[in-house]
Amino acid sequence: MTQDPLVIPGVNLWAIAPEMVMVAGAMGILVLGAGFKKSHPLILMAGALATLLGAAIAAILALGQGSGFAFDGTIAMDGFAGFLKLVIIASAAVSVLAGYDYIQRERAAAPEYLGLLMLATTGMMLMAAAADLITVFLALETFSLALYVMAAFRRQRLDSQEGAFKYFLSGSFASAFFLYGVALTYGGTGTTRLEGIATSLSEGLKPGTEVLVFSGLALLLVGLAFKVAAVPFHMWTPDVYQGAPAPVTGFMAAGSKVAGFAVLLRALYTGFHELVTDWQPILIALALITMIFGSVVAVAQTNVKRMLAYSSIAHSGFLLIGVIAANQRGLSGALFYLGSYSFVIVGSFAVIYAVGRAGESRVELNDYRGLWNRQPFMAVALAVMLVSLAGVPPTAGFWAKLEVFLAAVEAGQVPLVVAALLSSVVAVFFYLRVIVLMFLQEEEWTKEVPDTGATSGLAAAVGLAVVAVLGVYPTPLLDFARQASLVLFR
Amino acid sequence: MTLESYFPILLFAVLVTIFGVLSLVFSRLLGPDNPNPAKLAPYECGITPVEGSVAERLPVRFYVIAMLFIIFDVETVFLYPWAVVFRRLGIAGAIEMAVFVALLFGAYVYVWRRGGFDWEEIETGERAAGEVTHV
Amino acid sequence: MMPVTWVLLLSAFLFSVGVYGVLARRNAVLILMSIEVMLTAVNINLVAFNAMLKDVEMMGQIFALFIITIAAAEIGVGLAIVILIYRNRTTVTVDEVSLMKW
Repeated sequence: MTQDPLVIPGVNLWAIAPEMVMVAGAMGILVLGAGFKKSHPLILMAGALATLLGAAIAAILALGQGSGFAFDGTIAMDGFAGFLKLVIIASAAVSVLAGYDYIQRERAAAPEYLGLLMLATTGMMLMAAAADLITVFLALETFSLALYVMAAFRRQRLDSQEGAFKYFLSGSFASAFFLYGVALTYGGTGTTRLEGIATSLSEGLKPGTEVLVFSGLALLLVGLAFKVAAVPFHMWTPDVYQGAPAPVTGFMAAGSKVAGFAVLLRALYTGFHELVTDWQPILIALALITMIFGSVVAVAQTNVKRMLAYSSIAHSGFLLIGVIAANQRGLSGALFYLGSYSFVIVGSFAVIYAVGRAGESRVELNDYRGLWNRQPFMAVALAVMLVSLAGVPPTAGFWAKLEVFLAAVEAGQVPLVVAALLSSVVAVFFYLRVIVLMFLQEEEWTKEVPDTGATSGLAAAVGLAVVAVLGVYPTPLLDFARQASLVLFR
Repeated sequence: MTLESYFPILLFAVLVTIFGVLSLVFSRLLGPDNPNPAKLAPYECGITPVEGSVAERLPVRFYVIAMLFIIFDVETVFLYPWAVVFRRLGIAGAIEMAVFVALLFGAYVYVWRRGGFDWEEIETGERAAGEVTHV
Repeated sequence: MMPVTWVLLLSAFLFSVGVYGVLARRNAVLILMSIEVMLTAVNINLVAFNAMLKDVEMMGQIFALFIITIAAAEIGVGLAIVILIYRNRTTVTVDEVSLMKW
């Protein structure tokens, strides 16, 4: 029984070269580091950083290979994917730096920490490149499963377990909705490729299948809104942020937002672009309640990690404005926003780690009283990053918001932008409160020597430097984002 | 599709039945037969059977082993479609599957070296496998 | 041949059973099982659509295979977390896992 050989379609290893490097590194660290030699965490960290560097180089080289699809249209290779992959790699690297101190202080398992972090990074990178809903699902689960475990990393602590538990339950619940959406979309359009969906939507649907596509799209949006923590799918966010170790939280906040918005942008701008008038109103409603709810509830928080969790919910709302704009400026603005936000949030959580003490204590607002006297560098770094989160010029966060809002104005969404500006004003209040506490208040308790290592300081410094440089000179990253956004508009 | 093409399945079913019957018969004929209370207990391996409700809690380590088994077991599902067409896939298909199996093997080595398969807890420093949770 | 609508109805029913289970059950292990039921519903859907569309690429069936494996991995992680909680609190009732609110 001989048959013709099957043609294995379009293998282009450049498209997944960064991911391949990451998986090899992660497996190496897990198998060798945990199994055979009890390696010093410093060696493991060097290995992780080297792998991330290798992946970054591979991603940059892949950018030079032109754009297109690989593996029969399941994986995209373009500037959009390259830009977001580099952002994810960078925030993972900063998180590795902060995590090294954490591993030392808490005597946490270094190979698992680094290995899971790298596998999560791989999944997020794949999200940025996924051009098929199957690939999206695989990538989504790859990074989610790793993050569920990382959220439970302080496994003796009740709040860490509880955060992980809630994250897992709501996460897999949302995944199931996402999958049902994929199944319905497949039934309606006959394919799971985003390009194929776009073609079949523009050719017009067969009568009777519209309902499948529309309900499929709605369920897809539920799943993705959960990942980016948009209200009303945000319930897990504060608990997970509070429960997870601070360096993990930073990475989670940056990475899952980048990955979620990557798929949201690619799916809505290419696959479902035909239905723009249908998904826009849904997203407008989501964006409105997300921004307002996040900003208002953050004011009531006394725990800094929870406060940043609600702040990250609010930022999801602002990012959604870029998606809603549905023009090229919205896309490039959202990309720039994701880039700057990732650095800021990873850097902020490095500071939160450094201010805290063993067992993730001292994360209440009151613990930041008089920080300037104890840890002046950390106080300055956090202040600058909070100012950037608030979107005050001249910081990276200001340019990001400006781009996104201008894109929405171009698209005629003026009321939405007004609401966004108002909730930004509310948000300024709680960012400023922390800064006032750090610089203007006297500390109430006795001085003690901080027990933080050097690498979390380095992580904070990277975040600070990026915010400052992008604030004064955002042009290079903006240009990169504009170029990256071109591929989805052909 | 004629009925003849189902002949291998029939053959397979007959062989399986013969093998099963023969095993039972020969173990009955050849095995020494000296029953005692311990051997007649439901679990020959020595676990005391649960009295009363069967909804008794089991030690957590059963779950750990079961979870590990399920994960590795289910991954083999990818081998079936591959096996159906592997001749037609040629060398590229073999390489792809080799990569997949190598990754699985890496995971296996990790679990093994971290003590995931240890029934008794050997290392005292870190509890890897679990503890009895009778309440 | 059976109309595909029936299969879709079965799948929708199963999915709803799963959703109800996740929302109404209080035992963490039963919630995990409900999530599995939801994923099974998705698999039925995919395979039914694959047959309906006469898809030569077999996308639906391939996707179902991926869902089966990922679901196994997911349930592994989920059970591990549940066991972790059980060790510390000797309960897996979700109502009692609520240190943090708002």
